[in-house]
Amino acid sequence: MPPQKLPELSKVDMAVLATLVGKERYGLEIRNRLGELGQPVSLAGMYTTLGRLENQGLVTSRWGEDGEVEARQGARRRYYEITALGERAIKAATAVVTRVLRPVRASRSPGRASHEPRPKEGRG
Amino acid sequence: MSRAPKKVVVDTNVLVNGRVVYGGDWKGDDWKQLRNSIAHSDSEGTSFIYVSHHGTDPKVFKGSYVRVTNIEPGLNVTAVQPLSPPPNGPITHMTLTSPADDHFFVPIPGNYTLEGQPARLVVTRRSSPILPWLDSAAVFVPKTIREPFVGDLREDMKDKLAAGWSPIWVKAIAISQVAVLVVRWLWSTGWFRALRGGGS
Repeated sequence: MPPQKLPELSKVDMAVLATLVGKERYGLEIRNRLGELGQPVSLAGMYTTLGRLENQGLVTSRWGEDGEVEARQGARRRYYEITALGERAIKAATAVVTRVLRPVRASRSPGRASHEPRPKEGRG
Repeated sequence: MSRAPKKVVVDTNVLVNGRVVYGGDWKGDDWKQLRNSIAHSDSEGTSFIYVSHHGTDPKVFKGSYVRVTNIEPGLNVTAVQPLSPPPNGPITHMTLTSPADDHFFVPIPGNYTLEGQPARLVVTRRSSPILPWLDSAAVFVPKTIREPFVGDLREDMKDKLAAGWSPIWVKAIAISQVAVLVVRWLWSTGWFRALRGGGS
């Protein structure tokens, strides 16, 4: 069977998937985690993203059993988990981003000024 | 839409003159943050009703009020923050001017005596704006998205209110979130393109 083509991921797609690596979370938890990490998203935007990622097979979801949370007024939580395909997609996307950003990192490294002319060595 | 304020009634036998009396606990489970009321007086004879609540539970929303019955008409009851008396008329209740996240007091003049009579302290909480129509507003969105989204939205609203956000602002954010979800969902499923007669 030929390897499944990995879908293109946006910045928000990557951020949402990254929060799910190694831990399943529910929507508000993902949103709050992203906010802590400096990638704020709206709940509406995040749920649209989660729906799309689920359609692409990058995440799976299940109903939680904690619908008795008073503030939710009976609405159950839905927990999202990254799939194997999702993990491959986020790793591939991370590799691309790392490659693309390498010049930026190199130019900011202290003691490494690759674009600056090197001082000429004096003779004798 | 149930917007009626919830009431919790405390019946307490208040002996104000120089004696500390605790009488009863809150009735009703919906007012968990208020633990009890204690009517007593300090060393100088100033009497007050003391209302305490859990620090971690939701705050008392702005606009809630405390009403003390059995206070004689015209009696000069003073109010301290976060309570403010009504602008005119006899003082029968005091409104919270800001969300209360700490204990507060209802001062009563020291010469006021309720010996042997029950005093009734009624705390009326303004209903929290956890919008009951959220479910139906997002009816176009599949239940697997709508239900957790609406639950998260309510949870988020409650957190924001507890953090002291303005209820109007919190409501506005919730409404905009529902609108954005519906529009984005319709867009992602091709409804808008179909409505525009294309689909191309």
